[in-house]
Amino acid sequence: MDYKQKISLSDTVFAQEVDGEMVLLDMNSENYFGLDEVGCSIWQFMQDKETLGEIYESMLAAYDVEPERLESDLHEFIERLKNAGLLKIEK
Amino acid sequence: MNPELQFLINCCQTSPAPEIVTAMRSQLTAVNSVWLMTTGQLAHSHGVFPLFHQSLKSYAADLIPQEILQRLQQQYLDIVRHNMMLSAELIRIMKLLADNNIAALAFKGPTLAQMAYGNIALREYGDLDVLVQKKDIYQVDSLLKTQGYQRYLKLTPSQEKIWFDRAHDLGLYHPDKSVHFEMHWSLMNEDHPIHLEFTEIWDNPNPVTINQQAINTFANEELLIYLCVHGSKHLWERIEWIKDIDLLARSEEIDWNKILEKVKGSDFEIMFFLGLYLSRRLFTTEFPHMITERMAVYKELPNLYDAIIAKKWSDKKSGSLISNLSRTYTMLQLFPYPKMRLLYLHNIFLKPSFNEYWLIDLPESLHWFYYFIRPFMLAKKYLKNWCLAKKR
Repeated sequence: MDYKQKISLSDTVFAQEVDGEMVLLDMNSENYFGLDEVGCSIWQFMQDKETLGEIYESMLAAYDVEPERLESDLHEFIERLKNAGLLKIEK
Repeated sequence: MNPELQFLINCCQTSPAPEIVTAMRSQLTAVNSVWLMTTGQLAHSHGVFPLFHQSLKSYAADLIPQEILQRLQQQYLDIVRHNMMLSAELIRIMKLLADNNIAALAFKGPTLAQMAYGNIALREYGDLDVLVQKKDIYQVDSLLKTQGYQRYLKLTPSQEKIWFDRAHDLGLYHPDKSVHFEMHWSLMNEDHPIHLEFTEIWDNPNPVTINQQAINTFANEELLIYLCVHGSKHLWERIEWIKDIDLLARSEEIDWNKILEKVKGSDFEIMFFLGLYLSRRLFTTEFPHMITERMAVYKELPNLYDAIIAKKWSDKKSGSLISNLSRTYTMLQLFPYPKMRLLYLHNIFLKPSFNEYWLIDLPESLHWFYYFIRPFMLAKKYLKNWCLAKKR
């Protein structure tokens, strides 16, 4: 993972919290995506932090989690949203 | 009030008192799953299903079978998804209008949900309402057509002229997205006895943030007045409209002096205070002393409350001649002057409606003939309703 990458939700995504979980609507495809508990946490940190490195560091400080496990969860989250066209990634 | 409605009112309370929670729980122990699903349908027809669902989950989940809870949760998620779709579409349309230098104010729908409920998912809405200036209506119509929207009404040029002169909105529909869009150019029909015009509405747009995008809506004071007049015009058919008043008054900063200035002595003063009165009776909304003092002038408010809440909400013969006459009688009490009451009666019984204009397309010089068609159309409508009621 390139920790200098800036990531944010694409402009075509409508995000809504429902009963503590996040539901994302891709306005282009009109598909809905649900985020699990881990996804919700990453999404929350994405609101305040710009780069992947900042998100990683903040989450590592906030949660009692192994660095390798966090890196793997972050990687999976980013790949899933990127493949669905829901993320805006800038170098 | 019947038990189902009372249950819904309890579900809609903001931070319900312990005795209300106890009443809800004790009511639930005495009913079955069918009652719960039927009351869910009633909640939907009153636009308060999200609040109904939220209350059941928060205060009575242990009393409801898991299968029923899951079905209610699914219905709620369907509403959330629909609301998300409408909110996303509203953002897109408002941007389209702004990019084309068209002034527009969104109202009701997602903006009201965000303002009053703090969440676009907690209020039910079926369409998008946007106010534009009358000079822009053809441009908005054309722009929306390029986006796949179609008009509900297929109008001939003369019908279109009548519609734009007399109506206050035009409905459009997106068949692929199933989005209903109402383009408003004023807040009431031209011939309505009430004249609700906010001259400075375009000077003070109120930005509401939805999905990190600012959407312009009415100033809080104008919105509150509009919601009260709109609810009264429809005799408060939905609990949702009263809850809107309650939550808006609780959540937004409101300049009550400014409101009194606009309302006192206006055509719509009773309608405005009826909205506040219903909210106070059902949801114990608190208003400043100067408002309650003025509200007390209107001694007819308790009777109107009974006519709407106790009778109309439980009316099983809705649409019948008797029911409509009773509705007309209640409506007449909302107009402060005899002249307005006569105008209202003229409009509903004598004046040709769009139904007559749509029946036969006459040249303008023969429009007086529609007055003769009107009684036959009314008689046909009530005869049809009567036959349908007989069959049932």
